[in-house]
Amino acid sequence: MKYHKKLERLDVLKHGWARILMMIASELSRSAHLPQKSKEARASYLRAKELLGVLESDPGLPEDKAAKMSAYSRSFTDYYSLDAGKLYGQFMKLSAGV
Amino acid sequence: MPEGYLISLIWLSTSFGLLYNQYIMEWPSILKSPLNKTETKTLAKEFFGDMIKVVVDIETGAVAAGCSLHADAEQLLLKHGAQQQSVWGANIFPERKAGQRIEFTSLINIRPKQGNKTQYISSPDIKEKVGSILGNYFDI
Repeated sequence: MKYHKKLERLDVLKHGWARILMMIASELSRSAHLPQKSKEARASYLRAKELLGVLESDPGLPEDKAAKMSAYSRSFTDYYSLDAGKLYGQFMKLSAGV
Repeated sequence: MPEGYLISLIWLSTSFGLLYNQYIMEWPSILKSPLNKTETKTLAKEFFGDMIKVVVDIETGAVAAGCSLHADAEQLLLKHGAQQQSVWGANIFPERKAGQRIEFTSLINIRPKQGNKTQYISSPDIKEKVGSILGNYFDI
């Protein structure tokens, strides 16, 4: 993986959806608390996006959840219009509901 | 000793140290000695670019570092006798200003039974212990 250099997709997936959603939330939280244009904030966003990509491409993900992940994935296309704080809350809720 | 030899010697030992940390040493690892600034930055680059995930045993002062997931370093400490309730996760950002380099967050910190409901270490006492132990190994 590009932004989790020592991890493979399967290493991530073995942690289960709930934990992966929390990992995404964690990166979003970090991104939200840093100045938006900082390198660190962008790096956190990219890691969150990468994790979401792994989750989205999991063949075991039920259709309804996959559709939800795809919708979230679209909101990750533009870093500068991303509301990381809001998404953090949504991902935490999702992780609790999985 | 001529200055040239001394410089070569320093360069060689630094290069070997970096090579050892990057290619020979197995990560995650329980740290035996402090990492200097260059080693810390190299480790950060190797995993995430800007940060190092660390797990601290606040009872023994042991620190496991160099992992993609805190859970991996946590397992290493537990395997070496650490008690679950004494093990806390944090992140180190070597490029930040001194005093702001530790972030006390990790999924392994979510422990409602110990009164810690979020990823962030809420207890000032535990934070202080974690920070103090990390200060033994990193320039924070």
